[in-house]
Formats: sequence, structure tokens, C-alpha cells
Amino acid sequence: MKKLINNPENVVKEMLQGLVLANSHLQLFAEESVIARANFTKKVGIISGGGSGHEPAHAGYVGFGMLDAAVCGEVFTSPTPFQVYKAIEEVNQGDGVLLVIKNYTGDVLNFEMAMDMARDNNIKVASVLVDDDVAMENSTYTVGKRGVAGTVLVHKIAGSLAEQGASIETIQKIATDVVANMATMGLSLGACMTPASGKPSFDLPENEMEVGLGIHGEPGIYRTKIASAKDCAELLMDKVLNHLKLNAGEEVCLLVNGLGATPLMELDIMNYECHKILATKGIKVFKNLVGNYMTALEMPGASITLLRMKAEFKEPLLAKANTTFYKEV
Amino acid sequence: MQVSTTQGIIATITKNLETHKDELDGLDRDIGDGDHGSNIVRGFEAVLEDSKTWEGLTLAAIMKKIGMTLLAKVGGASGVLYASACLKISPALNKETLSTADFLNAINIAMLEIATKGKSAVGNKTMLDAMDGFSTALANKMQNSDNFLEILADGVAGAKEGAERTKDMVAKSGRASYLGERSIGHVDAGATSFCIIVGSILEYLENK
Repeated sequence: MKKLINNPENVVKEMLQGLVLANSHLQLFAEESVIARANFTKKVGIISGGGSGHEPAHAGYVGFGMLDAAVCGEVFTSPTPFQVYKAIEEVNQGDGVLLVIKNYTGDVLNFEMAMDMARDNNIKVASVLVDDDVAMENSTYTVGKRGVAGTVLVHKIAGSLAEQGASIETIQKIATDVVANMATMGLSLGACMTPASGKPSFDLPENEMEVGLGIHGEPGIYRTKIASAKDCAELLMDKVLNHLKLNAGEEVCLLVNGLGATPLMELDIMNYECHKILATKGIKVFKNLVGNYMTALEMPGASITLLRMKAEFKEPLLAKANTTFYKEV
Repeated sequence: MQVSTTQGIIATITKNLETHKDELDGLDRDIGDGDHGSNIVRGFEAVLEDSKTWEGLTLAAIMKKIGMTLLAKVGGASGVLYASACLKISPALNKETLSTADFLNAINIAMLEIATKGKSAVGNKTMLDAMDGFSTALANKMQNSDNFLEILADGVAGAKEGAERTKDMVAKSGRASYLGERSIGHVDAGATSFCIIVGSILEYLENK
């Protein structure tokens, strides 16, 4: 294992120390590994979090127009209820706190337990469950679809609405509708390596790729021969378009997300291919994001997210945001 | 049960989990994200540290403390599930002496809690499969024995068989379920850690 780390047990704590030193708009509650805005304003609080290893998610999205706090678990491990509750308690300004939860058993269990603790202390809480990954669609398994890169768009829209003074009920309703109109599909060209294990999460032959994977280094739903960017974009886009059933004339937000180790050059090529596919179908790109928004450590690969642009999503998606990683001026 | 016995059991569980940490991480890496060993060891090391403060506490109170420590230190799904099980069985342990029937009852309460919270069931390739093997073997042996160590030994063997059965299962719960058919051929990490925990209880009591 070659990583710029000290003791693998301290990676999250040390990362967060570095992050707050570089960002004066943030504060760190070190005991609970919670990154929050340095100053809170009177509005609905928006919190997200989960296991670490997906940087810049979620701490990179704390700031004006997006999150009020991010709860950082160990690498690929959900934070505990006590960590999540700390964030709720700090962020709450009396208007309630909305939790954006990616759909994983661990995250759901720990965040729900924290919400119970909040209710016991008379803090109003609500949640939005993000399950945008369509790789596992039609499976009979009990856990449902995963939450992946599209979560960032939920942060953006929920965060802007909160900034404009919307009620927790309104934000929850619109954010839930965002999730219902969003789909993501990804592929990887190789594994990632958690600091604790020090070994690749899977072995992949030189000429193969994993299709339909999540963001925790787990293998995808199947393996196939590596293909051109054009073919890969078609493969992913096919699944996403199939899910959303978009019609000609509709508008989308297109997010081409890197999983950590893929150069922007390749993400931009993927983006170009996605635009060509959308153009042939008469679908207009309302907003386009390309970059490493939701990663799986140093995994090479990409995912494509489409969000159908309903009228009420447009203004909050374009509204001003000023976070470490996501800025809208 | 004396506090020193509980402390001894925790020390044995922690030692054995530490020994098998890499193996548990490896099982989790095959079909999950490769950290079950690291997480569970972090939790039990904290419980072991906390066990120094248990003098004078009842078993029910200790079980509650174990639950809270695991909840605070493990994280992930397995942390909440193991912790919730400890918290749920705590009231059932509020007795001067524990019979084997009480022990079996506690395991069954734990299973129900884990199945409910985790929205899972026996056969889904989880820790529940090892727990089911354990519980069934305990109940069977209790029919013809009242020697706790004998019964527990059968239970541990049953848990191992239950864990082994997960190898041929398609995962229907947890992160391994995202692999579908590709999860076949791998033993579940949570089922394995449960085997280590009950195996450690037996090991400590046999050598006491």
C-alpha cells in the first residue's frame, strides 16, 4: 500500500484537521468528527454524512447554499448515532433539521437512531433517503437501491431552499421529488484500497471493467471487456435514460462524476459523449457538472447522473452556493 | 454471574477478535467493504477498557453498558445491530442467577431485535444465520443435558455450521446483497464474528 497517511486508524481525524485549517468558514467538532459551518443562520438545518472515503462528499459541501454540517464516519463506515446527534444538536436553530441519508443499511440505522434521540430532546427532524443508483434495479433484495453521486444534487437543491427560508416540510417534499426524478449508473476500471485493509478491494484483469458498482470499492453487478468512452457512455446512459423515461424536449441536469482516480480529461470525454447521446434524443442539458463529486477513494471510473429538471428544481439548483468544493456565483 | 467472569469473557472475546481481525476484514472485502474486523475490534477494545469500571454492577447493567459502548464505537450496520441486541437483552438478564433457558431466551430476543432493525431474516446471509444455528443447537442439547458447558459447546458448533451455510447463500441483506449471485461462495463476515464471540464465551468458561 502506498498512501500519504500516518496511522491508518487516524486518517479521518487528521483529514478533518487539515480541512478546517484550509477553510475559515468551517468549524470542527473533533470528538464526533462533525464538520459544520463556523456560523449558523436562522433557518432549517441541512445535514448529511456517512462513511468517509467519498471526499469531497460530504464535508466539502458544507457552507452557504448547501449543508450546515457533515458527519464523517470511519472510511466506508456509517457514523454512530452519537456523532449524527451532535450535528443535529449544533445545527438546530429552532426551525428543524433535515437529514440527507444515502440508502445503506448502516447509514439508515444510525441516522434514524439519531433522529429518535433528537425527537426525545424536542428537536424537529425529517429525512430524505437518496437511492439514485439504478444498477440494482428490479432486484428482489430487501435493502433497495444505493445512494450515490446524485446525493450532491439533493444537497444543492435542499440547501438553497433552506437558505431562502423554506419550511422543513417543503424542503423534504421537494428533495424527495428530486430523488424520484434522478438516476445514476457507474463503472470502474479498477479497485480502491481502504487505509485499514491496505489491499485492493477486488482484482480486475487489465482488459476488464466492473459495471454497476457503488462507491465503497465493492465490485459491480457484472464484469465485461473494457470499451471506448463512447461505448461506456452509451452503456451507462442507456440504463439511466431507461429508468427516467425522458421525452424529447425535456431538460436535465447532467453530472459526470469521477470515482477518484480518473483524470478530468477522461471525464470531459465522457461528458462530450453524454451530450451527443442526449442531443440525439432531443433532451436539453439545463445544468452540467463534471468532476470528482462523490468518490470511492482512489478508484478509477465514473458515474453518470441525470436529474429531470422540474420547474421547482431550477431556481434552487442555480442559486448561489459557497462551499469548499461546490461554488455557484 | 460474577463481574470478574464477565470481564474475563470480554477480554477473551477481544483477544480472539484481534487475532481474527484480518480474516474478518478479508471476508468482508470479498463481498462487502473490508472493514468488519477493524470495526468490531475497535468496539470490543473500547468495551474491554470500559470493563474496568464494572465493579458492583449487575449483569443487566453491564449488558446495557456494552451496548452503549458498541453503539458509540463500532459504526456501520453491524455496530447498531450488535449494540441494539445487547440493549434489548439487558432487561431479560435482570436476575440473580441465569439458567440455560434464560441464556437461550436472551439469544432469541437478540435475534428478533436484529431481524427487526436490520429488516432481515435467517437465510439472507447475515449474522442471523449463525445466531439461528447457535439457538437451534442450544435448544436441542437442552432436551438431554443440563450441563451448561456441554450445551454451550453444542451451540458454538451450531453457530459455526450456521456461518458455514452462508457460503452457499445469495445475500439478501446488507452491502453484499448488491452483488446478487456473485455473493455465493463467500462466508458472511458478521456470521463469522458472532461465532468468534460465542466461541470465546465457551473458551473462557471451559478454562476458568
